[in-house]
Amino acid sequence: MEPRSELIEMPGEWNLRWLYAAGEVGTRYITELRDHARIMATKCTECDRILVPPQTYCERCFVSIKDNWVELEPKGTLEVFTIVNTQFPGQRKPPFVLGYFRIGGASANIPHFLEGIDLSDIDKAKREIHVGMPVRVVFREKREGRLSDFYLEPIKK
Amino acid sequence: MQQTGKRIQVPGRWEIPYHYDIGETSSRFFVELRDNARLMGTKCPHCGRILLPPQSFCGRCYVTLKDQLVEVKPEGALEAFTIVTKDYSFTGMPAPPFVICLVKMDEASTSIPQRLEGVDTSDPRKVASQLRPGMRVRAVFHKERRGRIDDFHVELIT
Repeated sequence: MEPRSELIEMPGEWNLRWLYAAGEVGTRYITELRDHARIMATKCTECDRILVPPQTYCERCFVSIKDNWVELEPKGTLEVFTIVNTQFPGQRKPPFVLGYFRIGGASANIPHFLEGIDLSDIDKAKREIHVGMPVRVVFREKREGRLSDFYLEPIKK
Repeated sequence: MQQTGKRIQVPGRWEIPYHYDIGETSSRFFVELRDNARLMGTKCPHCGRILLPPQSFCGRCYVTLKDQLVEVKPEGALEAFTIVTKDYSFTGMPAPPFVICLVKMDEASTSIPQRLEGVDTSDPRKVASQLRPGMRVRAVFHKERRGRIDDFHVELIT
């Protein structure tokens, strides 16, 4: 065999379909989001921490909190962020801002998209976004029971 | 979103594109398949086994087989088969029912998985009762070949 013959790369596609069971608490979270456009969390009866996305039990106190619901005020702060510049398979078209947000006095952060930022100039956008910036939750008109039923945007001063 | 009872199931989809670097020896197999419509294996100079698909070394003798390519006559026997009747949406696979089989070409020491075509699969149970290991098969090379394993299939020699 000749030393350098044609080398072949074989394309492969893995298309995997899943159904994630949202569970009892997750189901309520999504249903409230869809039907009432509100973000619900569970609050620990022992340590008072407010967990969002809601948890069935407090992992610090080991108590069930699945019936102790609170509604979160739909605003908060950006805790950390990144501007995604690369196209990941199956994900939205870049650029976009991915952040972790602390909503309505909760004790946990949720990951989500920060919208309403002009990303035509990334360097400029980087200066515009900052940790601690106030954000509000915007619920979409058409909600289908997904996390994409809402997004975050800066509260302009 | 689907609702089973009161619980919610959120659909997810992972689409993961890959490029498999198949290496020198396998590349040679697919180039020969594509350009010359023939099956190439590698023959171990030590134990004499012919490995199909070709391997770059003999797993028994630990000797390199890189320059030991030999053509394998495209005739052999059915070793095992299964009839796929459920639609698993395997990438690159046809709509069920179809037959997947292991074939050992006469000159080869190993068997290869391949589609068995030319059998009426409309009644899978009937096919199952008609097929049996040991039946003679031949490789049929397609006119249009891209250097992929589906450049050929096998069919029964009647």
